[in-house]
Amino acid sequence: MLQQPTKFTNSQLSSWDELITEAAKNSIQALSDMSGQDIKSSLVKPYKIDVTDIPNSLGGADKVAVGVLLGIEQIPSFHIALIHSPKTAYQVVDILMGYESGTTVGLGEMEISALGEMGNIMGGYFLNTIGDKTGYELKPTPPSVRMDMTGAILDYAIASLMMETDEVTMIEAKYGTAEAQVDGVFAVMPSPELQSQIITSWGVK
Amino acid sequence: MAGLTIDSMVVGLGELKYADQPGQELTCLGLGSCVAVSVWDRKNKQGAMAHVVLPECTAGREPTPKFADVAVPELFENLKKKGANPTQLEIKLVGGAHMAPAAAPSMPLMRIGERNIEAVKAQLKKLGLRAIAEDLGGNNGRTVRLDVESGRVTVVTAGTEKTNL
Amino acid sequence: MAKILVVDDAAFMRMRCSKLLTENGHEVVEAGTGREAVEQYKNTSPDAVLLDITMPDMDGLSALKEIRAHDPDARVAMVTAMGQQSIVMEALQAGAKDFVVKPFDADRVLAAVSKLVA
Repeated sequence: MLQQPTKFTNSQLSSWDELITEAAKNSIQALSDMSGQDIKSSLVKPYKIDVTDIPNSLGGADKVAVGVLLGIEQIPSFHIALIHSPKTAYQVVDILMGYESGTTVGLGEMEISALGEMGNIMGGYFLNTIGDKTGYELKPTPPSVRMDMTGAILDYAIASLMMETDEVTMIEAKYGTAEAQVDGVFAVMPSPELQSQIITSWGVK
Repeated sequence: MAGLTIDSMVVGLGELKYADQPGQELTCLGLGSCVAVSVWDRKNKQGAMAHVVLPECTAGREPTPKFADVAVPELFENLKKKGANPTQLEIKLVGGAHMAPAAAPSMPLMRIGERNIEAVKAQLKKLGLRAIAEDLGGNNGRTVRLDVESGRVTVVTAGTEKTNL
Repeated sequence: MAKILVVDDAAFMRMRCSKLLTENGHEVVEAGTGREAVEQYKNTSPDAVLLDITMPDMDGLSALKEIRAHDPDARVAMVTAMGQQSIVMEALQAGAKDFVVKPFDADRVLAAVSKLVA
């Protein structure tokens, strides 16, 4: 298994960063469209992070959160995660279901399904952008929704990435609306191996 | 220990830490498929904890304690150097939950929790050691703390009060 | 008034689609996986199918192919977040009559259904 990704030029890596930034913006827009709310994001530029630091970067390893996770159908993988506090997750469900704010107080089957669908749409738009721009088709797995400690939620993605590398380029977007004070984090962690394959296949110089 | 502040030393993913001062605790936060190896030396009032992420160091990877086959031997080797008798150590294992999404594409990766447990136990067996207590498997995340003074190990999950292991 | 098979692994989506269609005078049957979709198609012979792609236990593109193999006249529209060019092409080539991208507009879905059953 590759230890280091193929050496790419700064120009190629910069194109990749732009691409995933655009993809993340499209994901946030899709959430806006889905919810009928004006969702704003403060996009963090893609950055290198030690895989071991990912839970801390996304809220803290023992912080209880509701996570929506997607992968892609191939390995090596993209890992897409939406992390919210439980309170925020309930607010998101209220918005998606068209309920009055404060209605949702727990996660039953329908609530989990609504959050999963949010992940499916946001993740789908992310991968669609990559697919259409690079020609490299990426199909997502069905979403998985969990309420648990953030570290535990992310362990599967972390183990998967750590099998290959100690460091990834992650893109993270914090998003929310002023009115409902919804805040969440949308994070995409591509495996370096897959990232290399996509850049190579894309053919940017 | 009323009045004493606990110095909580977080053992992050792939780390291995030692503590021998009263008031110190070693802790692994939010264990999913990872396995925490908690070891306490009653005689010398010292402890060690490893946060294992993967079962074995594969070709081309630097051997660090994120792998069970590196963490376990290194942990006991170092405790021995600090005066511990391996057969008198209290070993407790926590974690190794099944956290993979239902539609995960890769079979070996799906079983990463179980594989970590198997690897840690195999490494212990190689050293002629075994755990005296464990809280492993299931589908939930756990946080584990080892109090270095008393040797007490507590485990919490997202919904529960702490329980002694 | 037509019988529409709504296929999506998200209960949330099935509920919203069903509500929209029944409020507009249609009858709805549901399926949660590709495999269930094929079975429901064979058992209930719907007039049209709204078919998601990303599902466990057989995805929508595979289900589309099986449904079309069983019934070459099957009227199927994909309703999915997977709007990549290559996937749209694959679906249309496999016989889908329409491709609605999520998050969907209610009017768009109703128009798609009208076109399918026309």
